[in-house]
Amino acid sequence: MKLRRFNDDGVEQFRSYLATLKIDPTAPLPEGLLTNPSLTEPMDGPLEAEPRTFLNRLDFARWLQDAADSVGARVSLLDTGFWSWLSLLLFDQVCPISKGGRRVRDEVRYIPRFSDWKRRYRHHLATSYSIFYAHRDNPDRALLLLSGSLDILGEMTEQIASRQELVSCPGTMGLATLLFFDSAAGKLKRGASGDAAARLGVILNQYTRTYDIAVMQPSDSLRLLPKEFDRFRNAS
Amino acid sequence: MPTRLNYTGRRKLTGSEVQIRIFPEPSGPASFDVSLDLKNLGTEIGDARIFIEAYHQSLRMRYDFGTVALPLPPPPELRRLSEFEDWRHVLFRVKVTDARASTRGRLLAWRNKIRPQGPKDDPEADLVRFSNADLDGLLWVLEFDDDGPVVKIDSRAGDRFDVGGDDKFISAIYPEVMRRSLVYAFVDQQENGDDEEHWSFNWLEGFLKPKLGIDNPPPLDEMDPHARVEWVDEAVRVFANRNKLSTLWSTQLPAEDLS
Repeated sequence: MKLRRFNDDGVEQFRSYLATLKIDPTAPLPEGLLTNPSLTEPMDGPLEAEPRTFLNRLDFARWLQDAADSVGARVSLLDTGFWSWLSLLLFDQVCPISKGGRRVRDEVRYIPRFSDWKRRYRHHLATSYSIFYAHRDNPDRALLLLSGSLDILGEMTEQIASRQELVSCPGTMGLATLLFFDSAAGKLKRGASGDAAARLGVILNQYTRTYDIAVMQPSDSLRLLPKEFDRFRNAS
Repeated sequence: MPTRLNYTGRRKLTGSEVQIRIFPEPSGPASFDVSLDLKNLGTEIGDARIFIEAYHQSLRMRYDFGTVALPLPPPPELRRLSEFEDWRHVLFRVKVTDARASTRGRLLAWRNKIRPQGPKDDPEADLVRFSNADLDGLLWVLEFDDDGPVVKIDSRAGDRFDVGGDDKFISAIYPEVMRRSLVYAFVDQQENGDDEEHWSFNWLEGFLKPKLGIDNPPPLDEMDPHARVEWVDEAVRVFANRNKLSTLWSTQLPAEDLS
């Protein structure tokens, strides 16, 4: 199918639906918005892709990148209309039905606010794709943030994606994945969330003032971390 | 007053040692030039490597500029900002890193948050940035991030630059933006305007002193906690006076209202 973008009215209609869901979690999906010609418009670079169920964020990002690569287009990381439209298209995955209804969260998870530096990284789809895009030469180094499902932001994303110098740096991203991600099991190591993620964010922020982590091997920078991370460092 | 300690020996490069100029292209990504003057770093770190990083949000591009002893910029075709959709968002940082095996990667010197000069460079425009946002009925709010104040204007009121550049908005709102920004930096955060990495440095050295003739803020003094607030008041008063803001407001009224 051809991917589209919402115009301002389309974004407003989607916003209204999100508001309705807060009152009525069983409100039916307004799928008609996706193709309504008065609410949507085609992309500048025509993207085509068949929506499907994604294994995780990485799977989604690859799907979108493949669509862009196939026509030599570029996915805008600043297009509110596109990312809002895509959120509605994939709404069953970014806000799945659970126990008979949808639990809609902050609006920014579905309609991005790229100008809001405190919340711009909270959009489920745009953040997943932007992390992938930044590390597309080796997405495995970002598995820590890309292995999760599309409907969960997670403390790791909060702590790392919110810090520009960390999320964009191959060295810090590789280090965080090496530390917290169990590549054999394909999931986060036990306890790798919450306080540990917050501490790593703070410490890495300090380290980037002393080291150019981008030129260091993750295994080397791993040794710099304090003892409090031993339980992750020593875990396979 | 907060004291900053630097035990690492890392040196902060000055604005005169690193200058970056950006060259937009009519079609295709912008490119940039870097002017480096690193002679003050000393010959003993001649092997240290120089990296320039351009960044915005989760994207960064990194460029190898050779060594301190032998800076070697990449050719122009490799100095393109191809990762970024809009060069106007891009900031730069410079890193001089240790190349010795035992201490490889240690930062020897750096400068962060470098706003490049552009073809229509206007330093004052960077003091306050404008953005559109959904403010749920409010016309504007002021927020702060690491780069300084951001005036957010409700999208329903119009384009951020149209509203922000309107004479009525300028005459009524700018003094308040200036007051809150100065109080935030110089009173709440207790900045002195001497930290080149903090946005208050640009405010003081690039605007308050040269444009308004305002001197350094008075020292923070527990005996006179209002001294800095009075300094802010004076700066805002001079700003309003120099720009004749009340006249700017009145001249916008329809002729019949001028009586």
